Amino acid sequence: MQDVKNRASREQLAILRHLNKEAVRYIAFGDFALNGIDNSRTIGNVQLWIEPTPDNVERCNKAIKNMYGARSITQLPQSVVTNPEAKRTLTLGSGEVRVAVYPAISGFHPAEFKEVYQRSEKGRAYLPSQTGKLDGSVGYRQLNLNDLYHNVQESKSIHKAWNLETIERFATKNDLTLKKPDGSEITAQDKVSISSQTQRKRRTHDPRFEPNEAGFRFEIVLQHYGYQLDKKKSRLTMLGGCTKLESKAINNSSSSSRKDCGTKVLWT
Amino acid sequence: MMLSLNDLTKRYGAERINVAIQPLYIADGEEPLDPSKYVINASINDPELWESLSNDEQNLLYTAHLDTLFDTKDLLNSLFDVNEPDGGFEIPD
Repeated sequence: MQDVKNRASREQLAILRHLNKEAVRYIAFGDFALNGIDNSRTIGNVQLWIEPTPDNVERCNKAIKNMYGARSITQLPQSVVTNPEAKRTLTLGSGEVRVAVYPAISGFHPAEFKEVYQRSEKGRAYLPSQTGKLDGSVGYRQLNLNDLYHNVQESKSIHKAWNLETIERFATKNDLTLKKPDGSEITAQDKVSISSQTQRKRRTHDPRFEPNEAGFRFEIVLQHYGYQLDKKKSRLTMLGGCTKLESKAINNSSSSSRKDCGTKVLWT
Repeated sequence: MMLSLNDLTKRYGAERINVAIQPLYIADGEEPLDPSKYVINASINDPELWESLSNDEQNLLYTAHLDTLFDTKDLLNSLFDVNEPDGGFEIPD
């Protein structure tokens, strides 16, 4: 098995160093935490859950000042202490990939931060270099595997199934048992029911979307894109028992069953 | 001996390496300006190659893969006007 090491950009690593130096209490989650167990993912944003307490917010703001200079006006608002919501409050960094700060995350109550922090895991992020060697490591804390699984499961992320599978594969490879926050084991049945939630539902049969003999019913497509039939300027014609609207431009079919009755249809 | 992408190209062929380093799209970023999410193509479509590489070789291929998406000079070297702290690199217990 390959040794998995998380990677980050130079700026992201510098931000983490400043946060560590000021002893800011944070836990990495989301894709950055997943990168710690999956070495094939591209560097993206670092997502951090920051403890929403007045002291911690102050320490975080001090770290930001140290990072970007005393004239920097970027800061974490104290309002996150009284009103922590699971949405991004602050984005740090000026590069292509940045550090996103959240006062709350999916699957956990902000008041649970302390417990989750205590059971969190230490990780290390490195700077990749052109020679293949990794450089300048920084330590950070991230959700433990079970909490990460729970967080992904509760999130609304569109690549949820991909992320769940990554964690499941990692657990199987390392002979680990995934557990729910209440301590009970995650069974194979749970996994199936989760993945079925994330799978795209099959469209039920709708005759309106069946292709006609010309290959497609253009009126349905045009209506779908917001066009409306201009009834005053259009004439309707009956073909094979059902109403069809055809424009001369569209009707290039040479089918013998079809007669060009000089149908004129205008779409607005 | 310093490892280079040329060594991997000689061993596996330029075409295979070129396909291996391409980004495989997973999802969009959370917000409109966020970068999209990708994995290195080899990890999914050429696992035989990916798994056979050593850590350093994987990292080398990974950096080449980063080059297809970002300006790696910017991502890995430039710090703009950022100050890096002296010490304080580790997390407090």
